[in-house]
Amino acid sequence: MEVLTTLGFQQMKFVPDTGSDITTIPLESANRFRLPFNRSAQPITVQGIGGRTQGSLDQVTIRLFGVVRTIPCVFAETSPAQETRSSRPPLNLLGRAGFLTDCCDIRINDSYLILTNRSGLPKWAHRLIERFYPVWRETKPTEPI
Amino acid sequence: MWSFLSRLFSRKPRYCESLKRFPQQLVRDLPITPEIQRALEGTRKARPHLGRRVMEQAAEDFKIQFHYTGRCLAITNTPDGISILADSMEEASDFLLKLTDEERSYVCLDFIDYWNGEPPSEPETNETQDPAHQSRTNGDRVSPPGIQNGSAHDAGIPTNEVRS
Repeated sequence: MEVLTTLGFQQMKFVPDTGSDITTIPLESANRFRLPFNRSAQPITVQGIGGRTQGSLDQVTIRLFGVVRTIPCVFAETSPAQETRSSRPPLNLLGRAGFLTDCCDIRINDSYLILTNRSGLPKWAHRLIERFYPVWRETKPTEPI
Repeated sequence: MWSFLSRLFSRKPRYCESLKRFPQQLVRDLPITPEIQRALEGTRKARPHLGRRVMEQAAEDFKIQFHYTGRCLAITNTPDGISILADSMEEASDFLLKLTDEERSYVCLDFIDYWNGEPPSEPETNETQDPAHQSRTNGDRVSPPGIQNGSAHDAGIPTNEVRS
């Protein structure tokens, strides 16, 4: 996926993470690769399976399927302790917000993960369903057992 | 019409000729270690229907993951397969500054997962090593021949430094 840096659009690999609410980029790689973001943006705590860390909630501009979009993104710090505990190096995670919610459909076929651009009729159908069947709004958080 | 169809079904990757001027490491030339061999055999057993091209691609993926575990790479496609232009975050960051806009569009930044999901063992200190050596040992693992511009192996493993 192409990400806008101060040098222009740059291809970067992301790991699509359907369990992640929001796209996450490690702060170190964001600094190294000159991603423009507001360092004093809204501070946020990111919690994952590897632990909890601090980050800044801002936006990142991407180009996917030839279309430029701006999606919300957390620029997360990685503490040394967390990195030694973690079973993965700090990767760029592509979360749901702005990506699966707005522009892409995802399909898993055998060992392949297929992304398709949501445009035209499927996009309008998705909006109509949201408009007339707002099921997700009616669901209430359940009490813990 | 013919050119359109041939382009559509062509397996040739997008390739930038001018990137040849930079020192690079072809993944095809990296050694296949017993661990990679075992992983390939496992894939072959689990999915015997996979074709030659897919297995070649799997071999490239395993080689990158084994030899450059946990690192950030700048890679590009060539007619001979994937080529590695920079093998640490610092080097990749500096490398991008040397490129034109067109060249940059052919380079992808890749963050490599750990081999077998485990971080690499503690690196040995480089002080006692001869910098002229093209390869060094890291535990039982042989590091790749590397990119021949000096600082490629200095990083060793990804740093934990956070810059705010």
